[in-house]
Amino acid sequence: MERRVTFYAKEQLKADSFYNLFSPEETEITISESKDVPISIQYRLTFPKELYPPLESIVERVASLRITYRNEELAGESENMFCGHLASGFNAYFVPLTMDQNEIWSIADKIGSQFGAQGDEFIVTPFSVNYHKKRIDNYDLLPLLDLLRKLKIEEVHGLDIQLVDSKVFVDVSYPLKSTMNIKEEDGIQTEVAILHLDEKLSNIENYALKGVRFQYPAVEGPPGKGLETLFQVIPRHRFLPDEISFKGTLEHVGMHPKLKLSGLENVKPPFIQEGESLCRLFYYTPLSKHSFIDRYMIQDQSENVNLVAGFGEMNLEKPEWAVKKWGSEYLMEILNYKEGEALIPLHLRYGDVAKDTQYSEIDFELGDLFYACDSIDIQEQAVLERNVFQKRSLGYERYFDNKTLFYHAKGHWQNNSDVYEVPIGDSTYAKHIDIATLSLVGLGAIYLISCL
Amino acid sequence: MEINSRNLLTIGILLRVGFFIYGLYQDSHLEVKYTDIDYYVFTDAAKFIANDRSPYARETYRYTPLLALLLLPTTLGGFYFQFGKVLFMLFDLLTGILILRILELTKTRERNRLVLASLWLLNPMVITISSRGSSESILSALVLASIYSLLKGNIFACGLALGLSIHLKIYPIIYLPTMIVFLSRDGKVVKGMKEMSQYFTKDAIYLVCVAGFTFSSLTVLMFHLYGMAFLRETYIYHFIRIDHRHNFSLYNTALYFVSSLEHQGLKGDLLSFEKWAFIPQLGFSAVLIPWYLTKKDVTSTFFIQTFVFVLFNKVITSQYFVWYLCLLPFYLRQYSSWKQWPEWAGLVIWSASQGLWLYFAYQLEFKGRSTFYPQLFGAASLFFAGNIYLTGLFVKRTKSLSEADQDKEKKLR
Repeated sequence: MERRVTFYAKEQLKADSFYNLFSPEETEITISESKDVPISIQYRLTFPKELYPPLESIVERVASLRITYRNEELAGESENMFCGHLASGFNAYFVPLTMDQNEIWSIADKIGSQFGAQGDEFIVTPFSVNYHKKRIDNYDLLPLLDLLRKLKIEEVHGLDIQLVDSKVFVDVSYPLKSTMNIKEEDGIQTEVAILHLDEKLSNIENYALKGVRFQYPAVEGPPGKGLETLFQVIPRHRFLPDEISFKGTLEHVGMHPKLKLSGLENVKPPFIQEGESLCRLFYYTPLSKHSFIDRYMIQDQSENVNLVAGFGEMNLEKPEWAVKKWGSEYLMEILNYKEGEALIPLHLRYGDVAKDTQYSEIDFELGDLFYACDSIDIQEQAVLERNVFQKRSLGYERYFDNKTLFYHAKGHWQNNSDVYEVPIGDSTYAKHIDIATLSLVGLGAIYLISCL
Repeated sequence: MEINSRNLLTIGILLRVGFFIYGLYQDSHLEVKYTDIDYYVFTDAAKFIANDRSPYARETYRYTPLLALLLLPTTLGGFYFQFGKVLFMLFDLLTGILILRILELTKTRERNRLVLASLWLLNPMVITISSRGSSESILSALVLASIYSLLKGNIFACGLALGLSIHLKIYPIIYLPTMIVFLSRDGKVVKGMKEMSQYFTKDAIYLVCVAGFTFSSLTVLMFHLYGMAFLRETYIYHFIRIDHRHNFSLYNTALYFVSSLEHQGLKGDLLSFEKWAFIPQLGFSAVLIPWYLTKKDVTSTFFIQTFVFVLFNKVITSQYFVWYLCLLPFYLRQYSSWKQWPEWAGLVIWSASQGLWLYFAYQLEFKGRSTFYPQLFGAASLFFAGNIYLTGLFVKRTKSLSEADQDKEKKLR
C-alpha cells in the first residue's frame, strides 16, 4: 500500500510561516494548523483492489469504477491543484465487464448500497453506468483507515475513488483544521509533500510547485530529512480567471422553466491558433428526476444551443414519483459565446401531492461551463497523462478524447435563483376529488342508461 | 358561384394549401412553431427506419411502424420534409369526400350534404390539425372508408379498412359490434346458430374474419420486424398508461392524486380508478349504444359511441375530438334546420367548459399556479357533465327517429 499526503498552501507570501508549521522527525511528522495559513490536504492511498472492502464482491465484475464528490462550497479552495475538476455533487460510475442487464443492475445495487442508492437508480451512458446526486448526507469515506474515519463528507473539498488497472486510488482533499500527525507504519510506503505554488513560474496552463518531501520509511536520503523539490504540473483542467464568469437564471414559466446562461460574451476562447479557435464552448449539467430536457425540442427551439448528448430518464410523461432513475445528464454545445446568452428549455414533472400545501420547492444545479480545446503540443499531450494529482477517468471527460484540455468558467446563480417553486396538488382534497369523480361517473352512467 | 361538391372540395383544397403555406412561414419566422411536435416524432421515426433501425428508438413513438414507413420520403430532406403534411391533408380531403359520399348514401338532401360536409372540409380546426402534421386524418379516412363500404354492402373492403384502422389505433374496434348488429338486421342467420345469437350472420362472420385477418397479419408482420417494442409501444402502453399530466378527462385529477398518494403509502381507502375506468367506457361505447341504437340509425350510432368512448377515456386531448368530428355530420343530418337544435345549450357548455379548462391549464403550465383543485377539476367536471347532457340528447334524438327514416335506411341495402 502507498500513501501520499500533500500539504499545499496557495499563497506564496506565506511560504515561510507555512513551512514552520511542520515538525519532521525520523519516523513521523507533525503538522500544526494555523488560522493565518490555510492549508489544503490531498490524502492519497494506492493499494491493490482486493484490499478495498466496499468493492470486495464486485471488483472482479467491473473494468473500472469511479466515485467522486465535489463540495460546491469548499471545492474552490483546493480544486485547482488536487481535485482537477470533479463533476458537481456526488457521482458513481462503473464500466461492467458484462452486457447482461441483470448482472449490471446487481453490480449497481452493490455499489449503490454504499450510499443508500438502489441499482435501478443508475443510468446507462455509452461510457459507463452512473449515479448522481446533488448532495449526499452520509458516506463512509474510508472504511479502510481509522485516520480518515473521523472525517465527515461535508468537511471534504473533494473525493475521488478510482479503480484503474487492478489498483484502487483514493484521493480525499480537505482543509487542515487541527494538528495532524503522520507516523511510519508497517507495510505502508508513505510520502509527505509540503508544497506551495511558485506564482512567478506559474500560469493557468502550467503550475510550478516548490517545496519539500519526506518519506517514511526513507528511501532517498537520511530518515527525517526532507528532500527539496520543484516540479511542474500541466493540468488537463484549467480555470479561467475569476472575472470571466457566467450567470445562471431560472426564468419562471410555470412547468416549463427556462435556464438562462448569461454573461457568455465574457467567456472568450482561451487560445486561438492562426485566427481559428481550437476550442468549443460546452455546458454539462445533470438534472434530477424532477425535471428533464426534451432533446428534440431543444434542437428546434434553442438557437444558440446544440444538444450533443443526453442520457438517463427521458420519458416525458412520467411523474417524478414514477421515475426510478436518479435523473438525466446532458452535454450541450454553446454555438456562439458572442451572443451572450443561451436559453435551455426545461420541463418539470408532476411532483407528489402534499397535505396543506399547493407548492413544493425543487433546486437545480448550475452545471459546468467549459471550453474543450485540442492540445496541439505533442509534448504537452504526453505530460497530461503523467499529472500526479489528476487522472482522466470516467465522467463527462469521456465525451472528449485524450488530448482535450478543459478550461472552466466559474458560474453563480443570479439572486440565488436555483430554487424553483412547483405547483402540486393539495392532498387534503383527495377524498373530495375521489368521491366527486365517482359520483359524476355514476350519475352520468345512470342518466345515459335512462336515456337508452 | 354555384355551390356544389366540386366547388366545396376546391375551396377545401385552397384552404389547406393556404394553411400549409402559412405554416411554412410561421415555422421560419416565428418563435412558436406551427409544425406539430408529433410530426417531428413521426419523421424522426422514419429516419430511424431509413437507417435500418427500429422506429421505436425514437422516444414517444407509439404508433404502428406503417406510419413511419409512409413518411420515408421525409428523410430525403429539403422540401420532402413536408411530404407527411401533404399526405395527411390528402387523407383529410379524402375524409371530406367520404363524408359527402356517405351522406349521399343516406339520402341526405344535396344542400344539407354540402353544409354538413363543410363542417369537416372547411373546418379551420380540422385543417390546422392535418396541416400541422398530425396523422389523425389517416385514421378518420379509414374509419369512414369502412363505414362507406359497409353501407355499400362491400363487406370485404369494410373489413379491410376496419382491420387496418384497428391496427393503427385499437379504438375503432368499438365499431365492430355496431357493424355486426347492422348486418344482422336482415335476419340472414347462419344455420344452427340461431339459438346462440341472431347476430352471427354470414356477412358479420365474414366481416370479423376479414378485419381480424387484416389486423392480425399486420400485427404479426410488425411484431416480426420490430419485436416486443412494437407491441409494448403501440398497444400495451395504451392499456397501462396513466397520463398524470392534466387533460380534459374527468378522471385526470383523481388519477394524479391517487397515484401519488399510493406511491407515498397514503392511499388509504381512495379508489383506483385506472383499474375499472374501462367498464363504463366500453360498456357504453362497445355494448349498450351499438345494441340500442344501431338499428335506429347506424351512422349516428358510430358518432355517439365514439363521442362516449372519448368522454369516458382516462385521457382526453383536443386531438381525440377529431375521432368523432368526422362522424358528426351523420348525426346532424337528422336536422333540417339549425333552429331545431336542442343541443345548443350543451354545445355552449361543451365550449365554455373547455375554455374555462384551458384557462386554468394555462395558469398551471405557464404561470406556475396550482390550479389542480378546485379549478381544473371543476372545469373537467363541467365538461363531463355537459358532454353527458349532450350524449343524452343525441341518444334521445336518435331513438326517436321515425319508422320512415328506418325504412329509408333499409332500402340502402
